[in-house]
Amino acid sequence: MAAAAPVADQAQAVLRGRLCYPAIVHSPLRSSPDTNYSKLKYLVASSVSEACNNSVLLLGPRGCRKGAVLDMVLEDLKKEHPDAISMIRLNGMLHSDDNCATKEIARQLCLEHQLSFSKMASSDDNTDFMIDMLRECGLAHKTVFFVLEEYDLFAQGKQRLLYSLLDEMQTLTSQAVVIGISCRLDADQLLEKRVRSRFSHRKLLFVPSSLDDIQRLMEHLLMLDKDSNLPKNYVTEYNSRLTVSFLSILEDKEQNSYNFNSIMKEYRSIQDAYKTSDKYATTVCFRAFEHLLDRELITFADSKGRNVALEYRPVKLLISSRELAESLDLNTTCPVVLQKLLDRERYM
Amino acid sequence: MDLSATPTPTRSKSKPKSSPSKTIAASAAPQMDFSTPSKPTPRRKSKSMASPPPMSPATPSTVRRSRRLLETPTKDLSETPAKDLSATPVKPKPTPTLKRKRAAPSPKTPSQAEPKRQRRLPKQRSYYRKVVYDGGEFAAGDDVYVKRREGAESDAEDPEQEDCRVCFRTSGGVMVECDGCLGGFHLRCVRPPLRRVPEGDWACPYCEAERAGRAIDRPKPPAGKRIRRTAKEKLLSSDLWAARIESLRREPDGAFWAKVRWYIIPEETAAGRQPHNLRRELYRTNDIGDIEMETILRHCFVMSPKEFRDATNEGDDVFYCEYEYDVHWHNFKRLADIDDEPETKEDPSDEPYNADNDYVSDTDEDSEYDEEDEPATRCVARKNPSQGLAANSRTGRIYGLQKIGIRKIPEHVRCHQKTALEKAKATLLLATLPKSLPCRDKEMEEISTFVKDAICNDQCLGRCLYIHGVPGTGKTMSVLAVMRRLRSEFDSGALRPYCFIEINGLKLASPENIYKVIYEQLSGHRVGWKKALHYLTEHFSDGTKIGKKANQPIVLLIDELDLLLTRNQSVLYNILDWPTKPNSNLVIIGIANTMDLPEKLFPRISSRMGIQRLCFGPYNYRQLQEIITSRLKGIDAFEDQAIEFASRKVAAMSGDARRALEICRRAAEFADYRVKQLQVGQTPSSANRGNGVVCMGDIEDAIQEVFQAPHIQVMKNCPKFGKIILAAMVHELYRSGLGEVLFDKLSATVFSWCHTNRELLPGYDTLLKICCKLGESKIVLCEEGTKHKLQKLQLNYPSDDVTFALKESPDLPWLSKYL
Repeated sequence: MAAAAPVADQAQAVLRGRLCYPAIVHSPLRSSPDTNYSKLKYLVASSVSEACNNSVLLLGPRGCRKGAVLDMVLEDLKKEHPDAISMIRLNGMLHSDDNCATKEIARQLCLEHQLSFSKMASSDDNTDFMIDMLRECGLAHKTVFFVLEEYDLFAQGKQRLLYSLLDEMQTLTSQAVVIGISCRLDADQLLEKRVRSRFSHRKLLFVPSSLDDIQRLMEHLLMLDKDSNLPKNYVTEYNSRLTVSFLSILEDKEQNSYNFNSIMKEYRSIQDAYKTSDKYATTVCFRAFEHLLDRELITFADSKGRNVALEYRPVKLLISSRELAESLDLNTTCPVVLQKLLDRERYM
Repeated sequence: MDLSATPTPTRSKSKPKSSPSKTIAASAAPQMDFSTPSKPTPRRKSKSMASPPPMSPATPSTVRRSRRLLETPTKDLSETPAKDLSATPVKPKPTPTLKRKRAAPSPKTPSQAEPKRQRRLPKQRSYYRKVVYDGGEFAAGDDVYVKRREGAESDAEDPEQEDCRVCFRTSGGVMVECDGCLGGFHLRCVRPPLRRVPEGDWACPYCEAERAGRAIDRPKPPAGKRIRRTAKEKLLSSDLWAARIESLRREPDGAFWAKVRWYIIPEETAAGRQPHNLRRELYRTNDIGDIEMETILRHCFVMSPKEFRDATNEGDDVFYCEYEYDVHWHNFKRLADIDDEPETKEDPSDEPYNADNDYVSDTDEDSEYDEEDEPATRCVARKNPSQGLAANSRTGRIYGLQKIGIRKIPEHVRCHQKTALEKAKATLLLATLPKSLPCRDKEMEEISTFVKDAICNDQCLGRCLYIHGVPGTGKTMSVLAVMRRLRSEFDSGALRPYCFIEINGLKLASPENIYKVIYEQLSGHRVGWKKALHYLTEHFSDGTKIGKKANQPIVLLIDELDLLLTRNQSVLYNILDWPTKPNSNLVIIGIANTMDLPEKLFPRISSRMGIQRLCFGPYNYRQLQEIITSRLKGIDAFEDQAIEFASRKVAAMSGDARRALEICRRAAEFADYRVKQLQVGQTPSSANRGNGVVCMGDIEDAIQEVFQAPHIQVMKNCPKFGKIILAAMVHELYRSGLGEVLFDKLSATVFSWCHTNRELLPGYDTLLKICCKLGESKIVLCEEGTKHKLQKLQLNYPSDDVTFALKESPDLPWLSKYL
């Protein structure tokens, strides 16, 4: 047993190293020919080598490795053309405001080319600077990549940023690629008609990986090499045990909060009917009620009536009775009375 | 050795050595395919050794050629001692005809010569546009050879004609130039002898042998005879310099000086000679020097790639220059003026601006150089490394941007032979401006008459043209094309000077900023918008001067006019009110999408704007087809019916030309991708050549990508419970007949289905999470997840789509019975 511990540590270290290193996690994407990776790579590489402007939209639900694939492609390109690429990354969450976005673009351009940057410059100045820079970069055979994450959030308001970016794509001197990432499938429908006409409508769809794919990925990640003398099932066992314990903790909490039921009167009546040993004062129950509110297991029925005292506002239960029953079943310390009560209500 | 069969486009040039000999020039001068501007192939020339014909008069068109005839080697500069010249003013045989420098763009206004006055000129520097110096006529903008002081080894001789590398004689018929070593060979001296000048690349037997790895002795010159080197060879072996004259001046003491911009040969750059450099390639530097005129040897011709390709007859001293080299940062940049050909769209507002500037100013300061090129600012920029001058602020702009450049010119830019598909992709780019703009002749005619009336006939009063049409119908393009045409008319002197301002409403930070922009364009000053409005109104109504250009007729183009709408519509009103003012010389062209924009405005605005309108209807399929085929002329990459299919499809949907071009480009990309994948899979030789054509399938794919929402595919690939939820939603919505469903009910259905079909029961919160995920990609519309079971859900796509997508799902065969 003592000998197993260092082995386990070792295995853990290996696995952690793998899981935290994105290059390994996503390396199987590279191999197969007809994937989004190779399509995107072709698209982007050809726009670098043929000096054309492009705009691409990567669509798909979250967790479908849109960003990972893009990162890999850009990484590869950087290796191929070390000098000829500069990157601007924007996120719709942070830069959906046009002024703020142009400023951020100017800042990143300055940083990349070791120019000094002024926070004070007006947004017109920044836009002019961006256009000048695009031109200079185009003359120097540099391709500028604009990566816009949460693309749908840029499509709010007048879409001035998108318009000026996409309009700049239509001049000869600038050489740039706009890559939008969005999890909204209708992201291109959100664009204003002028912007949409300038957008080149290249879309790459990322679909959630199928069960086989995930299994393969997991095998790729979690299978230990033959030469490291570790039992393979060690890891899986460990993982499953972890989940089980985690789940039980969660459910225990849920049950606890249920234990103090919401409405005082109801509680009183139950108390009277069953004469249980544990009696709680009103204040304790009120605390419990607040507790439930905090946990968002119950919520107020309507948003109006803010000035009404807390006790008299109508509330709603947010979890289903089925969940309640399950959690009560699981909790061993729960008084029998409650279960009986619940059962009776269900069959009534 | 027949190289003419190579697939590369052949270029053959006939290069009479010292004189244009018509017969040979005609014999081998078919120009081939020049549609690949990015990569010029090395050129071929034949050198004729014909005897010089009688001197031709120096008409402007033949200046280049005849200039070389004017200065014969006997009168060569280098033979005159350096000091001699300035001391004895009698020396220059033809008295220097000094022409006052006037940057008059039109030849109609003759730059009059002010002859023989220079003796009595006041004691100050005087600048000249053209100087006839020692037999040669030099003007600003000319390229010249410049002597290097130290290497005066053999500057004295300047042979006009090159010796044959085999027989070492100059005379004796046509010579051909090797593309490898640039040596000249008589046709008959080559083994085997050539009958005529070969087309395409030609390498001499020695170069061929070296390329093949064999050692071969080049013929040695006969004893006692020195190899004479032409100026070109000296330059390329860095014994001479080449420079472009930026300005010419005469110092108070009478000496002529020139400010020159140096050229540099690839060997002298930090990157060294790169494999893709052409033999005759030079880089223009940003290094500017002052030299005395007597160090100038004679003319050479440094050309942009386009000129270089078209050049046929300029002799031996032609060089190729595509890049600028920054001597301080050691990096390269394409020369901007290559792309500044008149047909580019880039910054059209600026160009007339500068032109006007030149026209009016006959001052002698050298102000027409860009501030970037000014050596003084450059030095300043270098000395204090832009402390406190941020590049993105207005004042700091000039100090930062020169830094941008590339260390080494990437090889793929120049050595890449484009396939037909790649050519097609390039020409279908929205950025490339086609040579002709079909299908909009009538509209352009109307715009043209409108603008011309304003400029020529002073019919400006209260005139405004409103252009409307859906996006991608060529509104802006037509106006800009008209303005370009007018510009060239103006350049040739057929038109009065005018001022053209282009503003895009969507690029303004706020509608009021338009005053600022207009005022800045007119006067060159930057003020706040309120002040600008004040000045402009004053100018237009009372005629106060705000700048020298403001008095010319002004053509104001406002793109995306509807963006200028404010709540009280004051911006539009103010702008549209100007043309009605008595002192204004202003016409406005407004462009917007909606047809009834004037009707939506207050009546006082629509009465000023809505009189003259021009509608750009959506293109029909014939027009789209014509647009695409005119772009693809000469490139055999598309099936005809594929183009027709694409244009019909787009015409049915929107009539947007941008869309049609993009679809075709995307289809070309698909085809190219297919071809390249094939080549990766097999050996390149076995790749199917016939596949390299865009066919219907590619167009179909492209159209699908553009027009079809991807939701069905996403639904098909949903996780299992996602599918169940979607199916349950369709079921519930159908049963209840309502538009939305509560999560509580939905989950109940899901649980019961799972129960009856022996699926693993999902957790309640798992279901909730899946719902939120579906909501995120907008397959369903849902409220925020905190509402748990009270969350309302709604399908975002028709339920038929869901049914279609989920009908056959392999992992859930039982699902179809509920649909």
